[in-house]
Amino acid sequence: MQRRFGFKSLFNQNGSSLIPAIFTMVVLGLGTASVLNIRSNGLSETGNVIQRGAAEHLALAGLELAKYRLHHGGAPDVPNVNNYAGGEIRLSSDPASRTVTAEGIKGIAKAKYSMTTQFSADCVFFPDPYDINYGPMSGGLYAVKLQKKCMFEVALDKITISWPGYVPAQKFMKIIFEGNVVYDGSVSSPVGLPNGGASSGVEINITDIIIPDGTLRQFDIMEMIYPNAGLAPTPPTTFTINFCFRDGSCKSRDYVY
Amino acid sequence: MRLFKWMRQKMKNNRGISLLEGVFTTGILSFGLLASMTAVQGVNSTQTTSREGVVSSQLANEKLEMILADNNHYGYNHINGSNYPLEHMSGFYNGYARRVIIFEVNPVNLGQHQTGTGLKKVHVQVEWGSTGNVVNVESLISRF
Repeated sequence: MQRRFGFKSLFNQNGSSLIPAIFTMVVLGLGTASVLNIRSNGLSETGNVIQRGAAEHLALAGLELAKYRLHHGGAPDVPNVNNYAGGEIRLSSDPASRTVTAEGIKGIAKAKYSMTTQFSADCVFFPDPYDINYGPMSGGLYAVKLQKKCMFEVALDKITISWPGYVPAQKFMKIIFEGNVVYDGSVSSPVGLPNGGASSGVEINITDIIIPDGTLRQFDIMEMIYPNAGLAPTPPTTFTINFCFRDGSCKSRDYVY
Repeated sequence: MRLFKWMRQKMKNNRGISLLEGVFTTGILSFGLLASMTAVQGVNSTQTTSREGVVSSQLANEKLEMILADNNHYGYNHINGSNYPLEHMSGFYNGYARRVIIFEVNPVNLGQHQTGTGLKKVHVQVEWGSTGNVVNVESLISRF
């Protein structure tokens, strides 16, 4: 072995200069590979710069899309994933803080922007007067009015009515919006809503009401039933109605009997 | 076979061996260097295209920012294609062409044209070179 592969024997043999040549080739090859690797890293960084710009604009487009949806009574993040311009816009919102976040994704680049903006609840007001009447066995809140003062349209999604001294037997049976029944507990309509009436604090997911203009709109929340006259609300009783909109924002109002 | 036999004989005689080895070595090195240089040249050329791509991307972003600013300043109705004609850039940016395409879209399907929705798609395209290299940037603007 020593004779065949040792340096001494190597340089004594014919063709031995090929070995340093191959060695040089390997070194050159490694050098070239390193240079190519560095340059290709540079190229991919360049690609990232282009994608980063596109992702930023996708995020901004997402905020515009969210504003559009809000002004049309929709939820800003439904649907939350939107394919656009060869990339993706992901939207999320926090109605309590009135914040919308948009993330633009293009290739491996991502950009995220947030904004605070008006939601439906900020555009709705409750003008007086209203009317509350109770008879010996039932009663209701009549002519509960609301008015939209901005946005293209708002969509009312859920109503919750709460009152103190909750007695399980006390329930509201029906909600009527301008002559249209949007909740009827006696027939559990729409399907899935509280059957047999809505107790205090129970969220009623009504048939959505779209309000496109700024005229005064009127609700009649009727037929509060109670098993005997002794359980009837006595003045002063405060009914709190919480109106929640499709974008997730809510606004409540107290009505005193 | 004959050649090898001849070479073996020559090598045995040790005459002209250094020359043959030198020729082989130079041949191998030249081949390797040629391959390396070709690869580096290829990367250089891609690098140039890539640099132009970055410039195009910046030009496209610049135009889009201008249009978004116009939307804030002049309003939604001002943003239409006739206000943003095709630009053939000159001077430092000679060889770049910038095109703006604006149309209203369906808010549910953003790829579909639909007039009167109040939601516009703004598409800026920058083209350069003779091979049709293109960079596209898009955004949305709403009436509200």
